[in-house]
Formats: sequence, C-alpha cells, structure tokens
Amino acid sequence: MSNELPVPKESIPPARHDLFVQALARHERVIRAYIRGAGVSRPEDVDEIAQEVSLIAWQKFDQLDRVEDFPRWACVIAKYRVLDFRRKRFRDRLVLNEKLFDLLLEEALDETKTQNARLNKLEHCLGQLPAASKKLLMAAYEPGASIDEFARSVGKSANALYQRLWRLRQILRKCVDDALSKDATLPNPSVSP
Amino acid sequence: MNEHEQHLIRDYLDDRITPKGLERLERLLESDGSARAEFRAMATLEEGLRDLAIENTMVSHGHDMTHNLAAPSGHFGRWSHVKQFGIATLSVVCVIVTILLARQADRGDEWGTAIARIESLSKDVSFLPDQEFAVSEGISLGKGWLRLERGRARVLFRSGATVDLEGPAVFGIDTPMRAYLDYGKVSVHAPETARDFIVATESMEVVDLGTRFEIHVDAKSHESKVSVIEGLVDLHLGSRGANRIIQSLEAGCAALVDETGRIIEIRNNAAVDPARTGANAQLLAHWTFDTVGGLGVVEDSSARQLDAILRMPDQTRLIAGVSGKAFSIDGRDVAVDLCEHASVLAQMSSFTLSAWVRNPDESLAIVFSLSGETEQHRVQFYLTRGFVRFGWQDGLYFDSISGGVDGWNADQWYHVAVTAGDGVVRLYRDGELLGSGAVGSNIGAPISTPSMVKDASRAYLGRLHDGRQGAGTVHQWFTGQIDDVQIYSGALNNEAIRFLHANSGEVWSAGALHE
Repeated sequence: MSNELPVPKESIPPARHDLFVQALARHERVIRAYIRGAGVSRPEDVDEIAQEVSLIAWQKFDQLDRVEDFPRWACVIAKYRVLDFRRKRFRDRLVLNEKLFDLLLEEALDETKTQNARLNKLEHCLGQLPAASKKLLMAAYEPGASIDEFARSVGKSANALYQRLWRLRQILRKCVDDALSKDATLPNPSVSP
Repeated sequence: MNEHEQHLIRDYLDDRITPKGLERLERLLESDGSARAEFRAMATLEEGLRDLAIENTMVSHGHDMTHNLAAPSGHFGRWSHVKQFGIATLSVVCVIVTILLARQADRGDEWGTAIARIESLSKDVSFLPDQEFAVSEGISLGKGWLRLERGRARVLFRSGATVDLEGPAVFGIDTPMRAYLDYGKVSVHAPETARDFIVATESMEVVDLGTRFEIHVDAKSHESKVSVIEGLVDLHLGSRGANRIIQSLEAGCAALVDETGRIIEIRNNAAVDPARTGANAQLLAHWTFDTVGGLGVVEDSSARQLDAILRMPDQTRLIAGVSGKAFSIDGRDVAVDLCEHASVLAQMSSFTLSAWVRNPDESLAIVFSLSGETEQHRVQFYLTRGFVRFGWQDGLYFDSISGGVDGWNADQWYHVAVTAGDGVVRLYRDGELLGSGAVGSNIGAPISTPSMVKDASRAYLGRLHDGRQGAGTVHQWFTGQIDDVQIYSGALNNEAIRFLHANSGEVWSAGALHE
C-alpha cells in the first residue's frame, strides 16, 4: 500500500497554536486515562500511544471547530491508535481481546467529562492522605519505579507493599466516589428557589 | 462487584495477570457493563496517580511543566521519555529451550500448563533422531521443537489454532499464540479465539487476522511461500530487531519471500476464494456519456436504468471519448446528479467504481461522492496531483487510502478504479493495483463503504457537496474530461479491473468469458 505522503501544512496562526498547547496540557491526562481504560496496561505503551495521538491531533487541529470538543475529539483519534497498536504490538501478550478493547473504547468516549472530574477529585483526595502514605504512593508511581526494588529499599516484601498500595488506592477510590456523588447531589446554583 | 473481581482488574492494570485470570476477566467484562465502568474508573485512578507522581517529581526537581510546552516537534508535554518498543525476540529464542511435557496441574483446567497438544499423527509418521522426546497422539506440549522426518502431525494450540505439519519439518512451539517454523510445510487454521496467531520464520512473522493459511519454508534456501486460503494475514517482513515492513496478504494470494525477508513475488490466484473473484459483483449502473437527453438526462445503459441529471449542461461539452462520447467539464458548478439514487447506492457494503478521466484538475478532482445531510458522513473517490484516493468521513474524523501515481500526462486518458470488499479498499490506475488497505493512512480508522454513510441523500459524479473538514462549507468539483463510469455492487478482482482497462466501454460480466 502506498501511504499518503505528508502534505506541506499551512502554518497555523500563533493563537491557534497556543490554543492547541493549552488544550493538550489541560486534557492530556484524560487522553491517557482513556487509553489505559481501554485495556492498555503498561504505562510505557500508554505514553507511546498518547505521543502518537498528540502528533496526529496537532496535524489535524485546524479541522477541529470548537476547542471545547478537544478531549472527545482527541479520544476518537486515540481509539483508532489503540486498536492499531493492539493489533500490531500486543500479539503475544496477555491482553484483553480486541472485541473488549473496542467496547471499552466506545463506552469511554461518553465518559471524558466524568473522567476529568474524577482526576480533579483524585488530586484533592491525595492531599488528604497522611504525608507518609502520600509519599509511598508517589514513590510507587514514579516513572521507572519498580515495586520489588522499592520494597527491598524500605525493608518490606513486595507482596506486603502491593497490599498496602491496594488499600491506599481503595481509600482514594472511595474518597473520589464520595466527592463525585456529593457534587451530583448539590443543588444547581442556576436554579433559584 | 466483589473484591476478587476488583483484584482481577488490579492485576491486569498492574500487568501481573495470569492467563486464567485474563480469561476470567474477559468473561466478566464481556457480560457486565458495570464491571467495565469499574475497569475504566480503576484505570483512570492509575493514570491519575501516575500523572500526579510525575508532577510531584517535577516539582521536587524545581521544574514548572507549564513552561516546558514547546511547539510540537515530535515530542509533547511531559512524556518525552517514551521508551523504544523492543520486538519480542526473546520469545523466539525461548523456543530452543527444552520441550516440557506439561502436566495437568489444575484439575479444573484441561490444559494445565500445556501450550499445545498432539491431536493426531499419520500412520507413516516418523521423527528425526534428535527429537528430544517420544511423540504420540494426545500428549501435551510445552515450549520446544517437533522434528518431523516424514508423515503428518496435527497440533492443537490452547488458543484454538490448529497447525497441520507435513514432514520433513522442524516446528517450534512457543506460546499459545505463537509458533516457529524452521523449515517444512504447515497449514494453519486460526479461529476467532486465535486471531493474531503468529507463525514466525527466519525472515518474517505471519500474523493471522482470522484465516487459514499455509507456509512452506525451504530447508536449504530458507525461502518461504505463504499462501492465504481464507481471510487475511499480515506479513511482518525482515530480520528480527530490524525495522520491519508489513505487507497484508489476502485470500487467494501467495507471497514468495527470500531468506532476508524481501518479497520476491506476490501471486494472485483468484480461483481460491469466490468472494474475491468478482463472481458476486453485479453491474449497478453504467453511464457512457454518449448522449445527453432532454432536461440534461444522462442515461444509464444498465438494466437498472439509474439515469442521472446533468447540472449546468451549458458548461459541458460532448467530445470524443475512449468509447463513443465523453463529457468535457470546463468550469465549476458542474456535476452529474445521482441524488435520486442515493438510497440505492447507499446499500452497497462492497462496491467497484470504474471511470476514464483525462486532464483532471491536479489540485483536486472529485470523481464520485456519496454523503449524508452533513459533511460528517461521506465517502469519496478522488484524484490529486500524485495520488488516486478513496476517503471517508465518519463523525469527527476523516481518513483515506491512497495509491501513488507519477502525475497525469496532458491529454492522456487514464482508467481509474476503486474497489471495496471484505474490509479492504483497493485503488487502481490503468489496471495496475496502486494501493490497498483495511484502515486509513491518517489515523488508522477502518474503512467506510457507501452502506456506512448515515442518511445518505447526496450522490454525484464530479462533485462533493461539502468537503470541509473544519469550519465552512466547501464544495469540491471535477474539471477535465470523464467517460464511461461504471458502478458495481461488489468488489471486482484484479483480473476484472484489468479487463475494464483493456476493453474501454465494455462491462465486466461475472461468468462470461473474457479474454
């Protein structure tokens, strides 16, 4: 197959460029959460796909009418990159089947706003954890961190550390869910009594 | 959702899941929408924590990431440390490891730790002296080699893939989804459960995309022949570790590949798969452009009589064409209106469009389009300076497949064609296959066909009602000369397209004798 050659792109005005940078900075984590939520388990794969999505989104940004649509639009791009990635790169790995990837990707397209809210609440909830727990979580999720090595460095077994991290994640999860349901039950401020 | 199920999701997201765990998780996610929502929520939490950890690292190192967002140049945001993806060479090396007779470790799982098992052996079967263990029907197999001297052996993989070996052959079992053929002949059937099953050779990997295929590797030259009997395979060509080239191969095709992974020849044996022979393709419309009737009626000479309406006939001249007369369209705002037949055209899940063109506007020449009420849903066949293209828009994205050409000589008639069938689009000029694909080259979106255009109401030759991909309505046109447009419901094969090129004005008829 002859792939389409790159076509010289008209330069995008600086204001448009700024808009793109702002939109990407604001929604990058939603895009990555979307990719992970499709069944891409390894963080380095998530990064690689997110990188491709960013490049495509940049190339096609002048086709986007409303910058408010950016997260969903970028996630649509991500959907096809993920499926392509799965087909070409996950052949001999233990990953969910393609049908499930497709289903998870399709359902998640309608959740981009919820996921953004979830990510905002997570930051708030993390701040409420005791300093030592927060430090442990941050160390465990640092790029390149190995739980096994980290466990050795703090004199714990890897299993014990996994259990502790699991409990902390459960606490955070509950905090996020509670905060989201609290928001949902708040009266609409635009409606006067 | 109980804690055990949550642990399955956690193990998956931590990349620690076992094969059995994965099976259970797939069953859970397939049957339970709330489990899928939970999966996404947990994945979001994971990514959120990773994001915060990175931000935390950056802050503690005194960086302010908001100032690091430079102009796009290949790396964006904070994720410039992406690791290179390594090709999984270790798994092939591991094939050399001793074969294990797997034991039924788990009574609840008939496979236990086995990767595959011997389903049957022919009566005349014999194995080479260096076969490490006795082979008999029903035995379970782990990683390792089968060294068949003669006869046949059928191996069933845990994934559901069946491999028939024909001796002499040396065949490696690697994982439930991967095997290695050193030399000999194998025939593979991979059902849906084993989609993406791989047979690797020294020079390539053959990746199943839902199919039956055969591979024959010569013991001395290590040349390989891959024949696809049903479905589609991808050949990942080249030595492991090098940048590989991917070549799709469809049913009825066979590829000869040398020991370095270079394709020597691709043959098309159309007789293998009737669906691809054009036997199912029926002529739907044939506009010869030999006459324009009253009120600008462009007659369809096929039995369907899908007569079209010529818009702006005063800007169109009848000239000598490749067969009878042709239309010369000299200005914009001219098109052959097929809107009346949009609903008929929109029934085509597979199709062929064939046309003759001369002096097409090289900036953009729309040959055919079918679209819905908005620009968000459409398919289009069009020409540009260096390409023959098929494009589609479904919602927010536009994607296309292109076939490269070396320009368009002035005053020369060219035959152009597009076919779509079985999920693959093919593009031709003058009978030569220029390009094909199952997904677009822009963002990898799967192809759309006319039947996928929502609320199709606009169809034209020489016009696209709204070609925008952003703000503002943009009509696109064809200027130049056009002759003998044919549409078939069904994808014609290479032979039929070559016939249309060699016999201008004639139509392809399945079952008829064609020279």
